[in-house]
Amino acid sequence: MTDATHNWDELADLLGPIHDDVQLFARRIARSTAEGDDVFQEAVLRASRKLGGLRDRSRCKSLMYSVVVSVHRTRCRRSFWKRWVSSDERGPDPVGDDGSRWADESASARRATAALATLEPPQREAIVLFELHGYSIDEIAEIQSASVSSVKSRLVRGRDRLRVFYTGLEQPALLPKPATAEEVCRG
Amino acid sequence: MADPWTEDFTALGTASRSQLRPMAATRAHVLSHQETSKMRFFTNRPVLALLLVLAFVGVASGAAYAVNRVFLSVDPDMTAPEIEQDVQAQLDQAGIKGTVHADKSDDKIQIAIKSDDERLGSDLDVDVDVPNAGVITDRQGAGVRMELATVLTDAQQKQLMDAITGKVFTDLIIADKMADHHDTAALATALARELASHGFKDVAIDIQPTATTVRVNAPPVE
Repeated sequence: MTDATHNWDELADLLGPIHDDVQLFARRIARSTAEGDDVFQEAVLRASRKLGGLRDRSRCKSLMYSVVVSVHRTRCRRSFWKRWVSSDERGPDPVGDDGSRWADESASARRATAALATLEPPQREAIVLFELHGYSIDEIAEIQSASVSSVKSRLVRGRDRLRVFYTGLEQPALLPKPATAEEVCRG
Repeated sequence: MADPWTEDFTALGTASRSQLRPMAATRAHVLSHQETSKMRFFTNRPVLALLLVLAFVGVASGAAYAVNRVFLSVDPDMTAPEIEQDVQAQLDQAGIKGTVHADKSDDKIQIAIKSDDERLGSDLDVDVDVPNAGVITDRQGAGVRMELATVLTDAQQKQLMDAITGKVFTDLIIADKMADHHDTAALATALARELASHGFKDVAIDIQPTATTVRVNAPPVE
């Protein structure tokens, strides 16, 4: 057995139960499915190298989410990122029981992605973890390596910004601009 | 009353589940990436790979340290203060007392670790973690390792760092890495000559395929 295979086997034991959830998180904070998958793959690679330093294996779940957060913010800082990644990518249609609703649901999902893209990365991560993954504020604080009060602030401000976005759909003049590179770096 | 985004978030939750990559795909990506990382790194980031300069300032003897290896990981996309903070945290986690200073330009990362902990020096491994390109370690030839077998003043330490991170010194290493045939003796002589021009005349340079180490045995001579 090669070292690489051995490392993967060790990682697979820990990653298996949370593989899909972490991948979903990456997709949801990204601007497209493809970007999210890239973030996830990169995070897995990073995590595989950090395994040796992980003494408490029960922390694997929060570690994986934290690595995704780190990769996400690193990518957001890259100046070229926004030039090459479109938030308007049309991904696969959502799977549903009612085929007639697919187009509507797809548009709805894209609208959610566009709304999230107006948030700063830490706000976006907190909102997704809280609203879509059902994590508690304490858990999000651990994942984001932030204080509870910071997470609460991110949730409040993120929701405010989402509200402005949806209000702006009916009144376009009020629509906020997507977070700038400087805002992204501020994290 | 539901938030205006509730239905959209539900749709996003459903859409994001479409065509999730299975574990097998993740496994294939990880394994293939690990096997090809060195080649891809040098192809994509040749300069950065060669200019990771590590300085172990304060190591008073060059004895072989029979301790467990310490592995550090550096993300070159981080800013210098972030690298400092990250490396410092990794040292703290390893139980090693040291002060980290990082400098970064577009194509060069310098990390200086000041410590009198004897576990540093020859037993410290540093990985440069390049997103989408893989990992290169300084022991794979990515960097220059500097060890002090003498005590230098702060000014002399800076003088040494300036020499090792200078364009002449690093260009010599880059040229050798890029060459089809490696003449390590000639490279060692050229590097020693360059250090001597900065006053450091008692040095030992060890060039191995896995590492380039500069050992300074005496303070500079004016």
